[in-house]
Amino acid sequence: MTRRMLLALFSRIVAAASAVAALVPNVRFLADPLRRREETGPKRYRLARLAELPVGEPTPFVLRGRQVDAWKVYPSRILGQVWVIRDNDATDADHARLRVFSATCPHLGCTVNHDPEKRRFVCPCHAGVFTLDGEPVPSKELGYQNPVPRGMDPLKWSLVEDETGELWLEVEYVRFELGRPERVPVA
Amino acid sequence: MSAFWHEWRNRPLTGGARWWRTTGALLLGLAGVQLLTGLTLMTVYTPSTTDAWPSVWYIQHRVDYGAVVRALHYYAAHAMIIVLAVHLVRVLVSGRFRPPYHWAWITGLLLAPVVLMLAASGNLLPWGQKELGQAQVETHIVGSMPVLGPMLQRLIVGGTELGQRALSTFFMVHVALLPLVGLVLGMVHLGQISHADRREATAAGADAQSVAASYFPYQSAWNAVAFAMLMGGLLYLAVTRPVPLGPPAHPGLPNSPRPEWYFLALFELRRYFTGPMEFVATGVIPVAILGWLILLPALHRVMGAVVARVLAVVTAAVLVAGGGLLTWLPLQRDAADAEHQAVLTELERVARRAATLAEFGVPPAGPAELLERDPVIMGPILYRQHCAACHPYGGQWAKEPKAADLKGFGTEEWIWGLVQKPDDPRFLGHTKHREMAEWSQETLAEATEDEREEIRQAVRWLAGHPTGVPEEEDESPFALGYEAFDAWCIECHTYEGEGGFNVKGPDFTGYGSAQWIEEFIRNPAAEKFYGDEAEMPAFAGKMTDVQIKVLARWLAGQTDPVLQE
Ligand code: FES
Repeated sequence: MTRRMLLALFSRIVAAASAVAALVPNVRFLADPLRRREETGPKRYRLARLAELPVGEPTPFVLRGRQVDAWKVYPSRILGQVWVIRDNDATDADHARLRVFSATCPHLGCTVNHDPEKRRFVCPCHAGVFTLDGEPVPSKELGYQNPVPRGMDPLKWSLVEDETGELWLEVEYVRFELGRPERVPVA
Repeated sequence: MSAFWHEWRNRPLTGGARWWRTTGALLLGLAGVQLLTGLTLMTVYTPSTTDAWPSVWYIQHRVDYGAVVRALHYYAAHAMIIVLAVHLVRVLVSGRFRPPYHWAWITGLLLAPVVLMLAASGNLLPWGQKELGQAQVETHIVGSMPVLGPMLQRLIVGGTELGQRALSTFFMVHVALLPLVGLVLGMVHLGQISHADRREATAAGADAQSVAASYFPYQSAWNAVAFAMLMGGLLYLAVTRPVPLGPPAHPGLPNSPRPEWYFLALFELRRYFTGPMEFVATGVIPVAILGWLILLPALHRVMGAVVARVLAVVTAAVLVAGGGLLTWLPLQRDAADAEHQAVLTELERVARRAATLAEFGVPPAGPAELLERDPVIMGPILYRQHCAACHPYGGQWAKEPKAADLKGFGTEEWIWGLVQKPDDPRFLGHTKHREMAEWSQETLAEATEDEREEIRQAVRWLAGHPTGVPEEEDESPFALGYEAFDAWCIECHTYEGEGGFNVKGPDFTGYGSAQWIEEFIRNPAAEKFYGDEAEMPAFAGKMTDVQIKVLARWLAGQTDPVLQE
């Protein structure tokens, strides 16, 4: 009887150990996306000459760059979109005032449009609405719940002189985690 | 297996055969159709971001009966969700969730999310613009679940962005994982029902009548007829209404994603729970509904048959009415939403064009590359992005026009319009270029009928994107046009290296051709164009080479894609 029990126990342990041995590499394989880090961090983009930007009117820009998708490399792909608002017509770096927002909706990541009549940024997906300062429009004003968790994400920008002395608007593009009230860069 | 089958078909049929009892068999039949069509589709479909759309296109347009099999798979998937809902309501209303059916009831309920996830995962496989947008939202919803959400999202997406790994994962889930889970749950479900039927019959006593009737062939005959009718309907749909294939995914295309109809009610719920509460709509409510349904058999035990039955009927009514209303509301709103409709129209336009382009083959770089190089698709999109801040198009797109309307640029009609009224806002009215207006007022206004005809000739010549100088004796329209140019335009405009003695207007060599426009977009301040007088910025470096070429071709009215050099 003891021999029988021992054998049963033995076979169970051996079978379980083999199962675990088979499972471990598979679990590690499947968990790979959790450990993989893509090259991130802010990327600088040169958007336009300052003098060319219209004053007061939000202007959209499409950012293109190299994109790596697993083993595929795309040399020039659309990586994001931004909205630029030039606030005054100053043409020198000290006085020029600009606002730059990522066009990615902080709700669930659709691309935010500009509605020139209402002078608002509007998201086509769940009707999120922002002021031209990127702030969410209060739900009371809309008559329905504004679904966005936070305002549009502002991006760092700078004015950089080229060889000919002209000022260019450069933007540091960062993506933030969606759907959260706080701004956390995507790691 | 055969014992299982035998038990299954010979189980007692308490209460006799009924039409409404066919729903379970219909689901089984539909699962069979999905397995069959799915395996067939897999012989061509390729789960790669660059090959998925083209392989679906190929199924749709090249493979014999490809469109029919794809449509069958599509319509059967939708039918499955509908029949599943009917099945659920039928079991609720008939009270067949009570013991001894309670275990079958629970496995049945667990099958519902499996079917929905099958639909949602299959939806992404063509890797189209619309489906990618939907998947983006859906995976973010997963990510917004508390605690485990972000990790789960990363696992499903295979990283931070939907790409190749996401497609491979979705494919595995759709063709292997969920079908396996469904198969196991389904077998258990059937076994449980068979078992419960016997217990029910025994409990009902030796009512000779009902025990004599076995499931096969009494109910089976009804099932077969019902399934034949359903199959007939599906085949009819599949043959007469091919499933459209949307445009391939391309980040430059607009999007206004909406979930498929079976998720619309949840989508609508999200409107009422926003911010941190959103999880209530996407997680808590669906799980609560499932939980409530799972608990119904227990209520039956605790509160008695009558109360449980009433609760079940009320639950069914609330689910049907609530689900219906929440589905109807967003449909209503979208139908009235001009912007949403405009995006759909644009995507249809791109889809049609992409399907046409695919006729000539899709490059290995994928369909996005195909769109990128096509003037018809990208022309207007690039124009709106880069030109419409100043240049209207057919009176549209530019809110504050600052330059000429380029619809029909370089055509005879456009040039003749400009020659007659250079100051019109459609032409140079918004710009600071006044020389042409002065010329028009002084020279054209004074011209005789014959002279006007000559100028007209020069315009016609110019609209032909002229290059080269005619021989002395030449009397062709081209030569006559050249002479007219020589007589009327050469003072200000250069052509083949001559002219432009007076003021400097744009060069006429190849004027309005794609090549000419391309060079102009690259640098309007080049010597041959406006020189220092240029108001338009140079776009070389701001747009890629291919983009400039594509835009120039579109403006010149050409439709051939820009091929790789
Ligand atoms: S993604 Fe913008 S409102 Fe939902």
